[in-house]
Amino acid sequence: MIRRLPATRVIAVAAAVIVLAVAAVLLSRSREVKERPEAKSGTLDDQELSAAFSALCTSRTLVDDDLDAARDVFFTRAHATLHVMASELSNTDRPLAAELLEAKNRVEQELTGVGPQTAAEAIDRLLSISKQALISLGMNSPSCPNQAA
Amino acid sequence: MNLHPAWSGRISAWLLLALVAVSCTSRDAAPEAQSPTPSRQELVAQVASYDLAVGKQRFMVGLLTPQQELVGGGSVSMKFVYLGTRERPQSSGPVVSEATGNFLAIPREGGSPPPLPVAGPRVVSSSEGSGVYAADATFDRAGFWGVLVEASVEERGPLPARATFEVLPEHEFPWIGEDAPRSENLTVDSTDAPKSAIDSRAQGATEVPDPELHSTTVAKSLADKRPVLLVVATPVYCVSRFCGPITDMVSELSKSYGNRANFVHIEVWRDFEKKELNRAAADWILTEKPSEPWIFLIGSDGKISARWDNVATRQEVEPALQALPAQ
Repeated sequence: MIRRLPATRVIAVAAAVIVLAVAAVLLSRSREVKERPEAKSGTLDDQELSAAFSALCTSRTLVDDDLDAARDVFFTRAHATLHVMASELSNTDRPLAAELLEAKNRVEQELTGVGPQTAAEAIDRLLSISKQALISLGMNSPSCPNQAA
Repeated sequence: MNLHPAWSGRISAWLLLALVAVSCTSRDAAPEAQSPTPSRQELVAQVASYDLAVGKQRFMVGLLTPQQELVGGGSVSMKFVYLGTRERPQSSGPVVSEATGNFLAIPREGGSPPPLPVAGPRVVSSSEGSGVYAADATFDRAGFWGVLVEASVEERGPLPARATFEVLPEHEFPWIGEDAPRSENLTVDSTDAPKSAIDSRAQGATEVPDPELHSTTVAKSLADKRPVLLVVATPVYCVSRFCGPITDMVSELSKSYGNRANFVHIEVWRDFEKKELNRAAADWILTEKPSEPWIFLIGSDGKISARWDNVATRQEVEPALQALPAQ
């Protein structure tokens, strides 16, 4: 015969379990402040990473004929994800994170007219380093559909 | 703006779920860095403030739809709930305070002008810019807190968002009213450091792009009784996305207000790869986890009179400069 526990007791036990779980979490958590990109979570899924890489490919395709379009694609579809990628990478491979951020910065300068007008070359380099970064983050080796990246 | 009664009644359960969700999904993330997995009728809230402590300060939160679309424009309501301490966590609590958060539009990277203010809140495309909601919030005790945000999003109706975060007993980073560190920061005349330690953008053949921000030190400025607008940022190695635009903004402000204050940029990293901070940057941001970017306004008396963490707009900083006497 199954004996039913009183509802109040069930609730009390459940509440105690939850409170203990919360307490364990809070007690075990370090006070470390995590970097917080404002509008992105600290982790990225493969789809987001692929989308950013794909946007870089598009930007590269556009850059020779339409700098404005290339800039728009870069800043709206790739830029934020590259920051989060670099942030994640900096925990495991700071030299590669540095290369990624430097290459990204170079592209920013080129696309906004600050650099020496070699945007295509800068994007090629960023594609190459992004590819290494994605592999380092556990993704399969990505490539642009119409060019060897 | 009020919470929907049905939702408001679930505050306790929500907060518990929020904390448990954080425990299940994050490795070492502080609770404020994550929002519980939202339902389809909820937004994702991400706290953008650094260094929240007991007292009054600016509180910032970014809002996204579950599809990662940015919500921007207009204003939102924020309700703050106390959730206890690490030692004595609370499963629920009453609303302690409320505030209205106004949208802070952030300049786009690459020197393009700030995005136009938008009505809203509404879903905005990334090409329209980005931003966060900011409110003056007062926290009366240290511990864990929850924020309950409600946004009346155009064409989608009222949508809630929730996040948890920690409020410290005291600020970890230099705070308003404290004596400013007399930093002997690098300048363009420094010969004992690589150029990139003066400004991370100065690499290879590239010169320091804004030498006007690297012409003097905080220590000398304060010895001369000059106010200082200081930006601590690393335009190249920034993980928050805002170092470049914010450093550019400070550079622009220096052109208009150079008669009222000295303007100084301290680059964060002497060597990013080796995780070596510049000594002057360490004066300001050496904590368990250095963060960037920061702007500090230091008065001629050597005390910090204002500070902005992570996000700062010209609309916020300029009035503080205008209040300084021309010299």
